[in-house]
Amino acid sequence: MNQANSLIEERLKTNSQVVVYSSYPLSNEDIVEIKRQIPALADVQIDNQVDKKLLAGVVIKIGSLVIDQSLRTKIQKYLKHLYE
Amino acid sequence: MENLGIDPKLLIAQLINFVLFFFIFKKYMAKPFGNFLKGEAKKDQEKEKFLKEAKESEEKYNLKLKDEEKKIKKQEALVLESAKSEAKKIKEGLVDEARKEIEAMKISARKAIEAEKNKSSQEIEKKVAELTNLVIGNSLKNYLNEETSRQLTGNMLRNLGSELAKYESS
Repeated sequence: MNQANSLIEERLKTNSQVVVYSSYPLSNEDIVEIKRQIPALADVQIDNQVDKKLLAGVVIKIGSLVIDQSLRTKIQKYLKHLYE
Repeated sequence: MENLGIDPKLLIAQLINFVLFFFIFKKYMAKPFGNFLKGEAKKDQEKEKFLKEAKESEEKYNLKLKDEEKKIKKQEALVLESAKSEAKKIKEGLVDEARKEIEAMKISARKAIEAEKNKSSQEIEKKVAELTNLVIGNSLKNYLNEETSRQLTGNMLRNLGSELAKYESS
């Protein structure tokens, strides 16, 4: 986790805009949970955008860095694994 | 003699005349003519000899020519045989090469078919995956209401840290 946190901190130096995509508008508790799970985002303004296609979960985008934790991607990965 | 109608003077004169004529004829006419005839005979002999030699030479030449023809025919036969043998070798080589090429083409075609089969199989698998994804996505869209989605997202967010740790280890 430290490694991921360091990478995010590194990205935040050049790009301070953080966008979190979710299938519904996130509550403050959700945002707080994200910041708790990823300490590097603790003092960063998070912009939330809704994308119904994700079904559930979130996609965090910091510049070109994408952390995809959506249900849709998990299903896709599972299916890909299944058919390979 | 006179009664016989012979004049002895005339006879003597005629005899002298005859002897003179004989000597003159012999000396100035018979001898050169004889020599001329001898020369002609000699020439004829030489001509005959020359003709004989020419004939012999011609016969020899004909024999030589026949020998040469035989030799040429023999050489022709040899060259023809050699050419036939060479042509046979070339033909065999070409056939062998063609056979190899056909074999290579067959292998290549088999590989291409196999590759095409694999490609088609992969494409089908991809399509099936996409379709399944679509079906599951649409089914879940209908199944997941906002509340369920919130609960699921909440769970996923609580595991966000551990999920990221998993990525690091992988």
